[in-house]
Amino acid sequence: MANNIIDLNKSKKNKREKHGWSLEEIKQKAKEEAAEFRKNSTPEPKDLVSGDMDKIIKGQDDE
Amino acid sequence: MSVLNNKITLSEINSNALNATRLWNKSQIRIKDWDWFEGYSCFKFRYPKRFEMALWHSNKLIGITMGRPTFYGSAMRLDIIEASPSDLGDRPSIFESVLVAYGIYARLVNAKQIRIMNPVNDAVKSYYESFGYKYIVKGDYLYKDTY
Repeated sequence: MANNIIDLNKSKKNKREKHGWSLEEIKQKAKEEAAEFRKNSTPEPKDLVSGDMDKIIKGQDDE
Repeated sequence: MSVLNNKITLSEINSNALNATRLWNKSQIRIKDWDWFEGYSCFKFRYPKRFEMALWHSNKLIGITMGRPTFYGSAMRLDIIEASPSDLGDRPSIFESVLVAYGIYARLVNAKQIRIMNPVNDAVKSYYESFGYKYIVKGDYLYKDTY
């Protein structure tokens, strides 16, 4: 008799797409990401800047 | 206010943070001549669902960022980020903390991806890519799924 194999990650993803994340899931994911990001050995650029302030001030929406 | 393990303190963008950005005008190497008072005022007025954060270290402003969900809420945009210019003193890295914070907010509003808008140069773009973000030429942003 064959066993049904359930892909838990896919199942969780489908559930989140329908219902969103619980607070516990969000906290857990934040811990995991913080640990993952700490492993990134790429040095942060000294001139870390992004964005277009002119568009914001002029009210130009780029969506 | 929240204090992280690396002794970075987080706050909303308040008058202290906006005043502190004025000190950045003393920098000789600041890339963008942004007026945070005007920019934040416009952003705050237009986007009530915005995310905003100021990062402090030793009572010094070291970074500031603001973003918002897209119109349909499917993505969370990191619209603006600026770290304190390096000629005004050393600072700890800010981007890891910023990304974690955006991840939390994105999931709270059930956004499916985070977008980092308009990287200022190739070095900054490559740095974002080292966190798994992918660049989209049309739109000039990088994205990563929240799942």
